[in-house]
Amino acid sequence: MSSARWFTLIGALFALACAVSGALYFASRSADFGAHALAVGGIGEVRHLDRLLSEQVLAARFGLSNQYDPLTATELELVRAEGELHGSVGAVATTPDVDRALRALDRALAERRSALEHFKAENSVLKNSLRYLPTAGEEVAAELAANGKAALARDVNVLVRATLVYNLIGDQSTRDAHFAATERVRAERAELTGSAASDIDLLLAHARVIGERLPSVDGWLKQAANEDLSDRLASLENLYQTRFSESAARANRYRQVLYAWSLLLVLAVALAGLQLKKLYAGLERRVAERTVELERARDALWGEMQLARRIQEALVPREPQLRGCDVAASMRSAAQVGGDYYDVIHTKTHEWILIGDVSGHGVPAGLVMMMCQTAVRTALERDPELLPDRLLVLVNAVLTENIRQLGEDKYMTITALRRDASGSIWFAGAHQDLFVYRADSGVVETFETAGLWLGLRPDAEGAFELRELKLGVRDVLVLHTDGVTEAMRDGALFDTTGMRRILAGAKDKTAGEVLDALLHALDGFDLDDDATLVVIRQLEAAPKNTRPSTTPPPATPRPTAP
Amino acid sequence: MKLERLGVVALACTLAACSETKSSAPRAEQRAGAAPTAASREPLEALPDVPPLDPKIVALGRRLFHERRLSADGSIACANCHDLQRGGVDGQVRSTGVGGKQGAVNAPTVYNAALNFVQFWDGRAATLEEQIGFPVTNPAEMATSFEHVLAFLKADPGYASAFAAAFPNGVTEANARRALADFERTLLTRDSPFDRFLAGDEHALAPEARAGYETFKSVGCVACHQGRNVGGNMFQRFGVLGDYFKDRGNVTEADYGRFNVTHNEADRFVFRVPSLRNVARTAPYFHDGSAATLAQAVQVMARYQLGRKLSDDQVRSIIAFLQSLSGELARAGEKG
Repeated sequence: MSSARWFTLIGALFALACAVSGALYFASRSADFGAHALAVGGIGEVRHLDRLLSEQVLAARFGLSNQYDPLTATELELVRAEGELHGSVGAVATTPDVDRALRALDRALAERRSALEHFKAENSVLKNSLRYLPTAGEEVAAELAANGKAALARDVNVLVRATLVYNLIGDQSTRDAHFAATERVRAERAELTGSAASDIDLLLAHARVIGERLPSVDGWLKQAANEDLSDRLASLENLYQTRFSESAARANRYRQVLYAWSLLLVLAVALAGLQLKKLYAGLERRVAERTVELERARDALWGEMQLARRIQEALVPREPQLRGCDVAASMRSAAQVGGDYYDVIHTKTHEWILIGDVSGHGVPAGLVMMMCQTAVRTALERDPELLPDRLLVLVNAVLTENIRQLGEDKYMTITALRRDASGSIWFAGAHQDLFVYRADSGVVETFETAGLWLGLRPDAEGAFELRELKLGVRDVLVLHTDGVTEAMRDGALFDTTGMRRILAGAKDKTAGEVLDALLHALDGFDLDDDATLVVIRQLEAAPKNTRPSTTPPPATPRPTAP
Repeated sequence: MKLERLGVVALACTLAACSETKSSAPRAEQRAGAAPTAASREPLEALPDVPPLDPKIVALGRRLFHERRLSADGSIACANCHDLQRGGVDGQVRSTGVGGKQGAVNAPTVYNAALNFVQFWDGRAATLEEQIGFPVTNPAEMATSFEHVLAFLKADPGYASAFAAAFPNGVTEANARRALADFERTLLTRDSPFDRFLAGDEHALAPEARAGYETFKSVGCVACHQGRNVGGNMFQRFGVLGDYFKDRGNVTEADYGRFNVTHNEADRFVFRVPSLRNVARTAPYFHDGSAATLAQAVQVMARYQLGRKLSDDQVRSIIAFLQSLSGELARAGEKG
């Protein structure tokens, strides 16, 4: 299996392990003991309030409390606690039977609250009549006795006592006695008129209230203080505990599975580690093999580069000399050999200086350079009187054909300069600008070069313009390749400005010193390409009677300030 | 606890229930929900302190309470019917809402309403927050909707910034209800003469008022009007020992009271027992506003609720006691 497949497989297994671990973790968390504590606490609070409410209802019924504020406050607390129970129980157990138990608890509470309100209202009415009956009975009995109705007065007192005893005992016999006493007074009242009759009516009304409301109040009391809510709560608690225990057991099972799964994962990780170690060893071996291959390739390439460099070094003149001139030259090679070319050739009648640059790098560029050098020397050998423009036409024809045969996409910039015995320098061909320092004025003149690049098309007739420049005594001519002007430091080019600045200080310097100054200024710049410099200083005046075999038009220099 | 086990307790206590209450000594304040003790035998208690509330929310609620632009035509604020300078009522039999429409019942006071166990005469709202929605949407009151109210509050830069300062989520219906409810929770009228009397100031009550308190307890008023709010903690039928509505005549649907909420026949003519705090300032009385004076109200209650005749002296002394329940209106709403 390839290493990519291994990695994919291990990644997929890791994702699967994470998913399974996550699912097991959440399943094992289903028994949330914090929420359980809340639910149990909530059930306990409802139970406590339920009991407290029952006690308070009984206290209100039997006169231990004369107001309903505590009762009402407990009722509202119970409603709150019961409402919160939905949340706390629901957070742990969400089964349908628990929901049903909660709804049953809701109904029990609603029924209890309704009974409580009826109890409060009825109990108040009962207590009012119980409070008033003895007072009213006493007043009515006294008034009746004063009016000679002692029998009725006695029956009124009997009614009051029977009613109070009925309130105390509440059984059937005391109830019968109460109604019998009421009927007796009601029967005797028929014989009365006036205020005595209305007073007895009032007394009978309160007796009736007590007779009717006592069972009613106790009925509501039984509902308001019954154990229905408590029973519902117990059912809910049992159900909840059962569901929670199931949930906890399930969570424990998942936890055990999680532990086993964790052990399995540890083993799997260990196995995966061993497999990865094997993979790593294989990878290391392959890296070592590839490294060897790369080193071989590098060495082969390096050999090629060395060859290119040797070609370049073999073709450029080691100590170029010109009559009556001080000459210094330098070629600095970049890391990757470029195609810089310069040459100084002496024929019978003229001296030639050539400078150029082949596009690209390496052996192909070196070959083109060699071809160019050979073509130039052959052409001059055959016709020493050639002018530079004609020379370049011939060289271009040869070079273009050879490049085509090589199958390389190459071209070459070149400027050919022919120095006549008279001191005139005729030049043609497109390369870098020529710089001439005029010793008598201190001005640095720039001569632009123009023409067709060699190797682009075979026929270059008329493509080169012949121009002339003259050097006075102590004038300095500098030729260069683009490696010099395109050298960079901190994002800035050395440029021709740098060259002119150095050249402007060339007044009393030898060609070597000018060259050294230029090279020193280049220190610290990065060379991405070969950098070639040729410095020619005119030492003595040329004889004035010598003329070239042909007389091309003079070139017009473009003077520039230093 | 079984009823049978309380037989002995019942025997002991019935005598106490049947006797006229004599003591009026100040009592320790009873904690809500605490088990009954001897100290809780006093049927009335002093008003509690205003609970700790966010002042920004209370201030916003006060502003909303007085804001007429909450109503459909910009004419009615809560304060129109619940005038805080007049005891939290408008003194009308039935209040006038948007378009001159008349309400169905007499407007209850907002003072101490936070202590009522339910809101409205028929108890249809369990909380102040719930209560607030009814007058806003009632066609005979503010006749609007919370959509309209919220749109107005959001568009008004002053309210929008006040809500943003008071609540993290700015203008919402719940927050508007909460602000109004919290403001009402500050409307407790403490320091009434009766409260000072309960606190131990024997001279806080005039002799007639003190006698009235004893009468109030002895004739049975306290059976329903009890607790810290002197009422407001239970329902009761209007007409226990006499048929009030038959005698008054012209029964309307509003007279059905709690029945309109529960549709339980036992709840017909049942109302929340009103608080008697500041009752001297909140005429006319009853859900129908039929009693113009306290004397009329006391006599109607004696006849139809207590089933007894009260002498003029008893009525006068009860009124003197009721007047001692008037607390400090100006200070109510300051806290919070």
